[in-house]
Amino acid sequence: MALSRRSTAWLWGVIGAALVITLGAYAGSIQGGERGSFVMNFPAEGLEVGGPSPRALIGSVEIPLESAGFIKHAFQPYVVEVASHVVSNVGDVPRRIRFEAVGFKDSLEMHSRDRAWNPETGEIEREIAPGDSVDFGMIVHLPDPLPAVNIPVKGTIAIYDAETGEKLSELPVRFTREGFVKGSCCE
Amino acid sequence: MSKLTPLVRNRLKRGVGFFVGIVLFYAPFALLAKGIGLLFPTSLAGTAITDVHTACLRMPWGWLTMPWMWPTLGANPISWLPILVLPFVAAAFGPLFCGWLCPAGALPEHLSRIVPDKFKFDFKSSVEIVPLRYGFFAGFLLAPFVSTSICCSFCNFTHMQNLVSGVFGDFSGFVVFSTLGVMAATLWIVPLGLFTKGGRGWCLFLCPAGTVMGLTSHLTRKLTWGRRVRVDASACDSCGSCADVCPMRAIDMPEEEPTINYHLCNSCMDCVEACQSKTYQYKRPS
Repeated sequence: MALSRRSTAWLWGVIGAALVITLGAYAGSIQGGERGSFVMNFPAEGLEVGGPSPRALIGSVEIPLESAGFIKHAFQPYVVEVASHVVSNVGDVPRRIRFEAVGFKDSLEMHSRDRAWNPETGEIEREIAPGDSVDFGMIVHLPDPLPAVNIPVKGTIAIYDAETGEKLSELPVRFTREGFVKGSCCE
Repeated sequence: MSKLTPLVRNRLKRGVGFFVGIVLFYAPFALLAKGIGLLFPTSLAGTAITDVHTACLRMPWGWLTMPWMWPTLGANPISWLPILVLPFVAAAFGPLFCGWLCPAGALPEHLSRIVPDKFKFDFKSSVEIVPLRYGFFAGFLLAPFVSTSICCSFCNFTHMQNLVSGVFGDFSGFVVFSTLGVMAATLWIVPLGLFTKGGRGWCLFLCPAGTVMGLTSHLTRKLTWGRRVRVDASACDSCGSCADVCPMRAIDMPEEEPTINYHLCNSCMDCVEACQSKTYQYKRPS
């Protein structure tokens, strides 16, 4: 049975949409294991650090390394970026902030696209007004081989007031695997 | 220059457009975003390092599904600028951006000329390009709502920015890679570029911006003020050179008379210059 021209066009359209959505589903299944994505508020404590994002439900960034895609898994399993487009000042005064990554044993590079970013100090050298946000990321080099535990690497991203040194916010970051001894690298 | 054919001269001009596009949109230049940053110093274009991502609409589209990101949507108005400006440009002039200024589209097209045609796949003979293109576009629009956003790693603008940055000594875009990123970069340059007739396979199917402009160009093709590549079929000698050189596979020759598919045409003018019988002109409708 031959399809009409209109039906054929619709069929091709549906095929295209289905392909992209399938690819999206695959992307969703692997992206969490290849890149840690988070939202972070300051000043904030506990679950408020993640704001209204899903992070608030668990209070940390978790990167399940085993869900990484096949190319990442095969060629670059030990280098992972953890980054945020939105690190927001939820307070009521402008602040200059400094980022610090705490507890990661191996090499790590912090970055921001903000023009006032100082890579030497980890500081955004301008005041961030209440309600405004900056981006922040870090490239974490994991140990090879990974410790044979469920949480082979963990640490925190901390935000300090660059002028007073007061800690404004702290977000735990955990790299996880399944099927290993329960516990973490650092216990 | 006098010994060059009009087609080659046109492609050289488009080669200049490739570099103009890099200077306008890509770091380390990104003059357009920097200019907007000067006008709006507290916006993202004013406070962050500008590159092709400054005007990214994919992420904001994905953020529509994330209520906690809604405050961010207004923080970078430049990201909504392309969706307002580019269709207007397409209505007035055709998708000139695609044919003349988009480096991410032009790179695989120009590279594809090093591969002989006999090794290339011509999608026009095998699939219904237009409905498939709109199907992909619908998928891009729906993906954040039903599965997940296909964001940066599946964006050829990202990969083009990485290449341009690498040329200028900044290799940070290559430090961390992702599975989808490697797949997309390979797809963009190799099967949909080098081995696709016209070299614009990515533009045909996977560029949402190009699809929006193609749709606008088609819907507004009869506007009296809208310039497009127009056909005077009575002048045609049916040689087929226009259809052969068209990188977007937008020209059909039913019954040996050419027609332009404005869903696909990107106003590159290669057909205008390749046709020796002056069948094509870039003008308003007669």
